[in-house]
Amino acid sequence: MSDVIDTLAGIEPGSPLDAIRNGRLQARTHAQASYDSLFKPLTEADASKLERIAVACFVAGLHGRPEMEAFYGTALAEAGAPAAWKGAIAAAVTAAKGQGPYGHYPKGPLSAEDKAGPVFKIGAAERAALGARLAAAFEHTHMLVFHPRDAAPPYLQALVDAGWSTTGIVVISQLVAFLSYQIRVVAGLRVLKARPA
Amino acid sequence: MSDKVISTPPHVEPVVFTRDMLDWLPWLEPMAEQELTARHMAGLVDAARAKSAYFRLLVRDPEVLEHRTKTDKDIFYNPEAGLPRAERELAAAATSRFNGCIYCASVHARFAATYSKRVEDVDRLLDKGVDTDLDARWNAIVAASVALTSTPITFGPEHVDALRKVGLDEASIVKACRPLMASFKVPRRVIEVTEWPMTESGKIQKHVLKARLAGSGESLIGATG
Repeated sequence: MSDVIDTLAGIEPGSPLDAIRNGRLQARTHAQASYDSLFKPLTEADASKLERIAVACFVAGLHGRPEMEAFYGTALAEAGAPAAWKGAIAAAVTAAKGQGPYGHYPKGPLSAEDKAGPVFKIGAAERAALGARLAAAFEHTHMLVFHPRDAAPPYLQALVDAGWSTTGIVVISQLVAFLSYQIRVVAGLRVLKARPA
Repeated sequence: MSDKVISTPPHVEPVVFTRDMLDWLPWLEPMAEQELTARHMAGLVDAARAKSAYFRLLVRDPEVLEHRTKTDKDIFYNPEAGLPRAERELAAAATSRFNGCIYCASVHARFAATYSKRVEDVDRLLDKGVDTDLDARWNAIVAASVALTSTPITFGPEHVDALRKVGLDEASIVKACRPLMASFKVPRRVIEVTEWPMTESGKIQKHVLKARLAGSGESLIGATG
Protein backbone atom coordinates (compact mmCIF):
# COMPACT_ATOMS: atom_id res chain seq x y z
CA MET A 1 0.00 0.00 0.00
CA SER A 2 1.47 3.32 -0.96
CA ASP A 3 1.86 6.05 1.67
CA VAL A 4 3.05 9.63 1.95
CA ILE A 5 6.75 8.73 1.82
CA ASP A 6 6.14 6.65 -1.34
CA THR A 7 4.32 9.58 -2.89
CA LEU A 8 7.10 12.03 -2.02
CA ALA A 9 9.91 9.69 -3.11
CA GLY A 10 8.12 8.47 -6.24
CA ILE A 11 8.09 4.80 -5.23
CA GLU A 12 5.87 2.53 -7.33
CA PRO A 13 4.19 -0.58 -5.90
CA GLY A 14 6.23 -3.66 -6.80
CA SER A 15 9.43 -1.68 -7.44
CA PRO A 16 12.76 -2.62 -5.79
CA LEU A 17 12.45 0.30 -3.35
CA ASP A 18 8.93 -0.81 -2.47
CA ALA A 19 10.42 -4.21 -1.56
CA ILE A 20 13.18 -2.56 0.49
CA ARG A 21 10.61 -0.52 2.41
CA ASN A 22 8.53 -3.65 3.01
CA GLY A 23 11.60 -5.24 4.58
CA ARG A 24 11.08 -2.71 7.36
CA LEU A 25 7.31 -2.90 7.60
CA GLN A 26 7.06 -1.59 11.16
CA ALA A 27 9.07 1.52 10.32
CA ARG A 28 7.02 1.99 7.19
CA THR A 29 3.66 1.58 8.95
CA HIS A 30 4.50 3.74 11.94
CA ALA A 31 6.10 6.52 9.89
CA GLN A 32 2.74 6.82 8.15
CA ALA A 33 0.92 6.57 11.50
CA SER A 34 3.21 9.33 12.86
CA TYR A 35 2.23 11.51 9.92
CA ASP A 36 -1.47 10.78 10.51
CA SER A 37 -1.30 11.46 14.24
CA LEU A 38 0.49 14.78 13.66
CA PHE A 39 -1.65 16.07 10.79
CA LYS A 40 -4.99 14.42 11.64
CA PRO A 41 -4.85 14.79 15.43
CA LEU A 42 -7.59 13.64 17.81
CA THR A 43 -7.63 17.16 19.26
CA GLU A 44 -6.55 20.58 18.03
CA ALA A 45 -6.69 22.08 21.53
CA ASP A 46 -2.92 22.56 21.83
CA ALA A 47 -1.90 23.01 18.18
CA SER A 48 -4.33 23.48 15.30
CA LYS A 49 -4.04 21.62 12.00
CA LEU A 50 -3.35 24.90 10.25
CA GLU A 51 -0.53 25.71 12.65
CA ARG A 52 0.97 22.26 12.11
CA ILE A 53 0.83 22.55 8.33
CA ALA A 54 2.34 26.05 8.45
CA VAL A 55 5.28 24.75 10.52
CA ALA A 56 5.67 21.87 8.06
CA CYS A 57 5.85 24.35 5.15
CA PHE A 58 8.54 26.28 7.01
CA VAL A 59 10.61 23.15 7.77
CA ALA A 60 10.33 21.99 4.15
CA GLY A 61 11.48 25.42 2.99
CA LEU A 62 14.43 25.49 5.39
CA HIS A 63 15.59 22.18 3.92
CA GLY A 64 15.23 23.51 0.37
CA ARG A 65 13.35 20.41 -0.82
CA PRO A 66 10.93 21.33 -3.64
CA GLU A 67 8.95 18.06 -3.37
CA MET A 68 8.29 18.69 0.33
CA GLU A 69 7.46 22.37 -0.16
CA ALA A 70 4.96 21.48 -2.90
CA PHE A 71 3.34 18.75 -0.79
CA TYR A 72 2.85 20.83 2.36
CA GLY A 73 2.10 23.98 0.33
CA THR A 74 -0.82 22.15 -1.27
CA ALA A 75 -1.96 20.93 2.16
CA LEU A 76 -1.88 24.52 3.44
CA ALA A 77 -4.05 25.78 0.61
CA GLU A 78 -6.49 22.86 0.94
CA ALA A 79 -6.81 23.44 4.69
CA GLY A 80 -8.01 26.97 3.98
CA ALA A 81 -5.16 28.96 5.47
CA PRO A 82 -5.47 32.76 5.41
CA ALA A 83 -4.35 34.13 2.05
CA ALA A 84 -1.44 36.08 3.56
CA TRP A 85 0.22 32.98 5.03
CA LYS A 86 1.74 31.62 1.83
CA GLY A 87 3.73 34.77 1.15
CA ALA A 88 4.62 35.26 4.81
CA ILE A 89 5.97 31.70 5.09
CA ALA A 90 7.97 32.14 1.88
CA ALA A 91 9.44 35.41 3.21
CA ALA A 92 10.30 33.75 6.54
CA VAL A 93 12.01 30.87 4.70
CA THR A 94 14.09 33.28 2.62
CA ALA A 95 15.16 35.19 5.73
CA ALA A 96 15.82 32.06 7.81
CA LYS A 97 17.59 29.76 5.36
CA GLY A 98 21.12 28.82 6.26
CA GLN A 99 23.57 25.99 6.68
CA GLY A 100 23.54 23.73 9.72
CA PRO A 101 24.20 22.29 12.15
CA TYR A 102 25.99 25.00 14.13
CA GLY A 103 25.82 26.37 17.64
CA HIS A 104 27.57 26.50 20.99
CA TYR A 105 28.63 23.86 23.49
CA PRO A 106 28.56 24.27 27.26
CA LYS A 107 31.76 26.06 28.29
CA GLY A 108 34.67 23.63 28.34
CA PRO A 109 36.89 21.60 26.02
CA LEU A 110 34.23 21.57 23.28
CA SER A 111 34.10 25.36 23.15
CA ALA A 112 36.87 25.13 20.53
CA GLU A 113 34.22 23.53 18.27
CA ASP A 114 31.68 26.34 18.75
CA LYS A 115 30.34 27.45 15.41
CA ALA A 116 28.63 30.81 15.19
CA GLY A 117 25.44 31.27 13.22
CA PRO A 118 22.26 33.31 13.19
CA VAL A 119 19.48 33.11 15.76
CA PHE A 120 16.34 33.63 13.69
CA LYS A 121 14.05 36.53 14.56
CA ILE A 122 11.00 36.66 12.34
CA GLY A 123 10.32 39.95 10.52
CA ALA A 124 7.57 42.33 11.64
CA ALA A 125 5.49 41.85 8.49
CA GLU A 126 5.58 38.05 8.79
CA ARG A 127 4.75 38.26 12.48
CA ALA A 128 1.75 40.43 11.66
CA ALA A 129 0.56 38.01 8.98
CA LEU A 130 1.11 34.80 10.93
CA GLY A 131 0.35 35.93 14.47
CA ALA A 132 2.38 35.71 17.67
CA ARG A 133 1.93 31.95 18.15
CA LEU A 134 3.22 30.91 14.74
CA ALA A 135 5.95 33.55 14.85
CA ALA A 136 7.28 32.01 18.09
CA ALA A 137 6.85 28.50 16.66
CA PHE A 138 8.95 29.43 13.60
CA GLU A 139 11.76 30.84 15.74
CA HIS A 140 11.79 27.64 17.84
CA THR A 141 11.68 25.52 14.66
CA HIS A 142 14.66 27.33 13.19
CA MET A 143 16.69 26.54 16.34
CA LEU A 144 15.74 22.85 16.19
CA VAL A 145 16.57 22.60 12.47
CA PHE A 146 19.85 24.55 12.35
CA HIS A 147 21.35 24.83 15.82
CA PRO A 148 19.75 22.35 18.22
CA ARG A 149 22.75 22.39 20.55
CA ASP A 150 21.82 25.96 21.49
CA ALA A 151 18.54 24.70 23.02
CA ALA A 152 17.96 26.50 26.31
CA PRO A 153 15.03 27.47 28.56
CA PRO A 154 14.57 30.96 26.99
CA TYR A 155 13.54 29.33 23.68
CA LEU A 156 10.76 27.52 25.52
CA GLN A 157 9.82 30.58 27.57
CA ALA A 158 9.25 32.48 24.30
CA LEU A 159 6.74 29.81 23.25
CA VAL A 160 4.95 29.93 26.60
CA ASP A 161 4.81 33.75 26.37
CA ALA A 162 3.22 33.46 22.91
CA GLY A 163 0.45 31.28 24.30
CA TRP A 164 1.67 27.74 23.65
CA SER A 165 0.74 25.13 26.25
CA THR A 166 3.30 22.61 27.43
CA THR A 167 1.54 19.94 25.36
CA GLY A 168 1.52 22.29 22.35
CA ILE A 169 5.30 22.76 22.66
CA VAL A 170 5.74 18.98 22.75
CA VAL A 171 3.54 18.61 19.66
CA ILE A 172 5.38 21.29 17.66
CA SER A 173 8.78 19.88 18.64
CA GLN A 174 7.71 16.33 17.73
CA LEU A 175 6.40 17.70 14.44
CA VAL A 176 9.77 19.24 13.59
CA ALA A 177 11.50 15.99 14.61
CA PHE A 178 9.19 13.92 12.41
CA LEU A 179 9.64 16.24 9.43
CA SER A 180 13.43 16.11 9.81
CA TYR A 181 13.08 12.32 9.62
CA GLN A 182 10.56 12.26 6.77
CA ILE A 183 12.56 14.72 4.67
CA ARG A 184 15.73 12.63 5.11
CA VAL A 185 14.05 9.32 4.33
CA VAL A 186 12.59 10.81 1.17
CA ALA A 187 15.93 12.41 0.19
CA GLY A 188 17.76 9.10 0.75
CA LEU A 189 15.20 7.03 -1.17
CA ARG A 190 15.32 9.47 -4.08
CA VAL A 191 19.09 9.13 -4.28
CA LEU A 192 18.79 5.32 -4.15
CA LYS A 193 16.12 5.37 -6.84
CA ALA A 194 18.44 7.28 -9.15
CA ARG A 195 21.29 4.88 -8.38
CA PRO A 196 20.02 1.29 -8.73
CA ALA A 197 22.40 -1.42 -7.56
CA MET B 1 -1.32 21.34 34.23
CA SER B 2 1.31 24.05 34.48
CA ASP B 3 2.35 25.75 31.26
CA LYS B 4 5.70 27.20 32.23
CA VAL B 5 9.40 26.59 31.98
CA ILE B 6 10.62 24.77 35.07
CA SER B 7 13.99 25.14 36.73
CA THR B 8 16.26 22.16 37.05
CA PRO B 9 17.73 21.06 40.38
CA PRO B 10 21.47 21.71 40.84
CA HIS B 11 23.39 19.35 38.59
CA VAL B 12 26.63 19.11 36.65
CA GLU B 13 26.13 19.75 32.95
CA PRO B 14 28.23 17.47 30.73
CA VAL B 15 30.84 19.47 28.77
CA VAL B 16 32.37 16.64 26.71
CA PHE B 17 31.02 13.78 24.60
CA THR B 18 30.90 10.62 26.67
CA ARG B 19 29.55 7.06 26.77
CA ASP B 20 28.50 7.59 30.40
CA MET B 21 24.85 7.53 31.45
CA LEU B 22 23.75 11.17 31.69
CA ASP B 23 20.93 12.68 33.72
CA TRP B 24 18.46 14.25 31.32
CA LEU B 25 16.43 16.90 33.12
CA PRO B 26 13.27 18.47 31.67
CA TRP B 27 12.71 22.20 31.16
CA LEU B 28 8.98 21.59 30.77
CA GLU B 29 6.69 19.76 33.20
CA PRO B 30 6.36 16.04 32.47
CA MET B 31 3.05 14.37 33.33
CA ALA B 32 2.85 12.94 36.83
CA GLU B 33 2.85 9.15 37.02
CA GLN B 34 -0.58 9.12 38.67
CA GLU B 35 -2.03 11.15 35.77
CA LEU B 36 -1.22 8.46 33.22
CA THR B 37 -4.29 6.77 31.74
CA ALA B 38 -4.52 3.63 29.60
CA ARG B 39 -4.15 5.86 26.53
CA HIS B 40 -0.90 7.29 27.90
CA MET B 41 0.41 3.83 28.79
CA ALA B 42 -0.27 2.73 25.20
CA GLY B 43 1.69 5.78 24.05
CA LEU B 44 4.65 4.84 26.23
CA VAL B 45 4.73 1.36 24.60
CA ASP B 46 6.98 0.01 27.41
CA ALA B 47 5.32 0.35 30.83
CA ALA B 48 8.74 0.88 32.45
CA ARG B 49 9.01 4.20 30.60
CA ALA B 50 6.44 5.63 33.02
CA LYS B 51 9.41 6.06 35.37
CA SER B 52 11.26 8.31 32.90
CA ALA B 53 10.69 12.09 32.97
CA TYR B 54 11.71 12.24 29.31
CA PHE B 55 8.96 9.88 28.20
CA ARG B 56 6.39 11.34 30.63
CA LEU B 57 6.95 14.72 28.94
CA LEU B 58 6.63 13.35 25.40
CA VAL B 59 3.56 11.29 26.33
CA ARG B 60 1.57 14.53 26.54
CA ASP B 61 0.71 13.53 22.96
CA PRO B 62 0.31 9.77 23.36
CA GLU B 63 -0.41 8.87 19.72
CA VAL B 64 2.58 10.80 18.37
CA LEU B 65 4.88 9.20 20.96
CA GLU B 66 3.52 5.70 20.29
CA HIS B 67 4.19 5.80 16.57
CA ARG B 68 7.53 7.55 16.95
CA THR B 69 8.58 4.86 19.45
CA LYS B 70 7.48 2.00 17.19
CA THR B 71 9.27 3.53 14.21
CA ASP B 72 12.39 4.03 16.31
CA LYS B 73 12.33 0.47 17.67
CA ASP B 74 12.14 -0.98 14.16
CA ILE B 75 14.96 1.25 12.96
CA PHE B 76 17.30 0.21 15.77
CA TYR B 77 16.23 -3.27 16.86
CA ASN B 78 14.71 -5.15 13.91
CA PRO B 79 17.34 -7.77 13.09
CA GLU B 80 15.70 -8.87 9.83
CA ALA B 81 16.79 -6.27 7.33
CA GLY B 82 19.66 -3.87 7.16
CA LEU B 83 22.80 -3.17 9.12
CA PRO B 84 24.02 -4.97 12.23
CA ARG B 85 22.83 -3.20 15.37
CA ALA B 86 26.33 -1.87 16.12
CA GLU B 87 26.42 0.05 12.85
CA ARG B 88 22.92 1.45 13.26
CA GLU B 89 24.07 2.84 16.60
CA LEU B 90 27.30 4.09 15.00
CA ALA B 91 25.29 6.03 12.43
CA ALA B 92 23.16 7.56 15.20
CA ALA B 93 26.22 8.37 17.33
CA ALA B 94 27.86 10.10 14.34
CA THR B 95 24.67 12.06 13.71
CA SER B 96 24.56 13.26 17.32
CA ARG B 97 28.30 13.99 17.37
CA PHE B 98 27.81 16.15 14.28
CA ASN B 99 24.69 18.03 15.36
CA GLY B 100 26.14 18.40 18.85
CA CYS B 101 23.69 16.60 21.14
CA ILE B 102 25.86 15.31 23.99
CA TYR B 103 22.88 13.44 25.49
CA CYS B 104 21.81 11.53 22.37
CA ALA B 105 25.44 10.82 21.48
CA SER B 106 26.02 9.24 24.90
CA VAL B 107 23.19 6.73 24.40
CA HIS B 108 24.11 5.69 20.86
CA ALA B 109 27.87 5.65 21.51
CA ARG B 110 27.29 3.37 24.49
CA PHE B 111 25.30 0.92 22.35
CA ALA B 112 27.74 1.19 19.42
CA ALA B 113 30.63 0.29 21.74
CA THR B 114 28.69 -2.54 23.41
CA TYR B 115 27.56 -4.19 20.17
CA SER B 116 30.71 -3.64 18.10
CA LYS B 117 33.19 -4.12 20.98
CA ARG B 118 35.24 -1.39 19.25
CA VAL B 119 35.38 0.82 22.32
CA GLU B 120 38.48 2.74 21.25
CA ASP B 121 37.06 3.56 17.83
CA VAL B 122 33.79 4.79 19.33
CA ASP B 123 35.68 6.92 21.85
CA ARG B 124 37.83 8.36 19.06
CA LEU B 125 34.66 9.38 17.21
CA LEU B 126 33.42 11.10 20.38
CA ASP B 127 36.76 12.78 21.16
CA LYS B 128 37.94 13.82 17.70
CA GLY B 129 34.67 14.19 15.83
CA VAL B 130 33.20 12.88 12.60
CA ASP B 131 36.35 13.38 10.49
CA THR B 132 38.39 10.90 12.51
CA ASP B 133 39.69 7.80 10.68
CA LEU B 134 37.99 4.60 11.92
CA ASP B 135 38.20 2.13 9.04
CA ALA B 136 36.92 2.10 5.47
CA ARG B 137 33.50 0.73 6.35
CA TRP B 138 32.86 2.87 9.43
CA ASN B 139 34.24 5.97 7.67
CA ALA B 140 31.68 5.47 4.88
CA ILE B 141 28.83 5.04 7.39
CA VAL B 142 29.89 8.14 9.34
CA ALA B 143 30.26 10.21 6.15
CA ALA B 144 26.80 9.18 4.95
CA SER B 145 25.31 10.02 8.36
CA VAL B 146 26.93 13.45 8.32
CA ALA B 147 25.68 14.17 4.79
CA LEU B 148 22.15 13.20 5.80
CA THR B 149 22.31 15.26 9.00
CA SER B 150 23.45 18.44 7.25
CA THR B 151 20.83 21.05 6.44
CA PRO B 152 20.47 21.37 3.49
CA ILE B 153 21.05 17.63 3.03
CA THR B 154 24.24 16.82 1.10
CA PHE B 155 23.67 13.05 0.77
CA GLY B 156 24.17 12.00 -2.86
CA PRO B 157 25.02 9.12 -5.20
CA GLU B 158 28.68 9.32 -4.13
CA HIS B 159 27.63 8.26 -0.62
CA VAL B 160 25.60 5.34 -1.97
CA ASP B 161 28.59 4.24 -4.06
CA ALA B 162 30.93 4.53 -1.09
CA LEU B 163 28.57 2.47 1.10
CA ARG B 164 28.22 -0.23 -1.55
CA LYS B 165 31.98 -0.33 -2.01
CA VAL B 166 32.52 -1.17 1.65
CA GLY B 167 29.93 -3.92 1.46
CA LEU B 168 26.62 -2.49 2.58
CA ASP B 169 23.96 -4.95 1.58
CA GLU B 170 26.56 -7.50 2.60
CA ALA B 171 24.67 -7.93 5.87
CA SER B 172 21.52 -8.96 4.09
CA ILE B 173 23.49 -11.37 1.88
CA VAL B 174 25.04 -12.98 4.94
CA LYS B 175 21.65 -13.17 6.60
CA ALA B 176 20.16 -14.85 3.56
CA CYS B 177 22.93 -17.50 3.74
CA ARG B 178 22.26 -18.50 7.34
CA PRO B 179 19.26 -20.80 6.89
CA LEU B 180 20.78 -22.35 3.77
CA MET B 181 24.32 -23.17 4.89
CA ALA B 182 26.21 -24.92 7.63
CA SER B 183 27.32 -22.25 10.08
CA PHE B 184 31.02 -22.57 9.15
CA LYS B 185 30.17 -21.94 5.49
CA VAL B 186 28.27 -18.70 6.09
CA PRO B 187 30.51 -15.94 4.73
CA ARG B 188 32.00 -13.46 7.15
CA ARG B 189 32.72 -10.98 4.36
CA VAL B 190 31.22 -10.52 0.93
CA ILE B 191 33.41 -9.12 -1.84
CA GLU B 192 31.97 -8.27 -5.21
CA VAL B 193 33.76 -9.52 -8.33
CA THR B 194 32.85 -8.52 -11.86
CA GLU B 195 34.04 -11.78 -13.43
CA TRP B 196 35.40 -15.09 -12.18
CA PRO B 197 38.93 -16.12 -13.15
CA MET B 198 38.34 -19.51 -14.82
CA THR B 199 40.60 -22.38 -15.89
CA GLU B 200 40.32 -23.71 -19.42
CA SER B 201 38.28 -26.62 -18.10
CA GLY B 202 35.80 -24.18 -16.55
CA LYS B 203 36.76 -24.24 -12.88
CA ILE B 204 37.24 -21.17 -10.69
CA GLN B 205 40.94 -20.34 -10.21
CA LYS B 206 40.89 -19.98 -6.44
CA HIS B 207 44.57 -19.07 -6.23
CA VAL B 208 43.89 -16.02 -8.42
CA LEU B 209 41.11 -14.90 -6.08
CA LYS B 210 43.40 -15.36 -3.09
CA ALA B 211 46.13 -13.32 -4.75
CA ARG B 212 43.67 -10.54 -5.58
CA LEU B 213 42.47 -10.50 -2.01
CA ALA B 214 46.04 -10.31 -0.72
CA GLY B 215 46.64 -7.26 -2.90
CA SER B 216 43.39 -5.50 -1.97
CA GLY B 217 44.19 -4.82 1.65
CA GLU B 218 41.21 -7.00 2.68
CA SER B 219 41.83 -9.77 5.14
CA LEU B 220 39.80 -12.89 5.75
CA ILE B 221 41.49 -13.51 9.07
CA GLY B 222 39.87 -11.75 11.96
CA ALA B 223 37.20 -10.34 9.70
CA THR B 224 33.91 -9.50 11.33
CA GLY B 225 30.60 -10.16 9.68
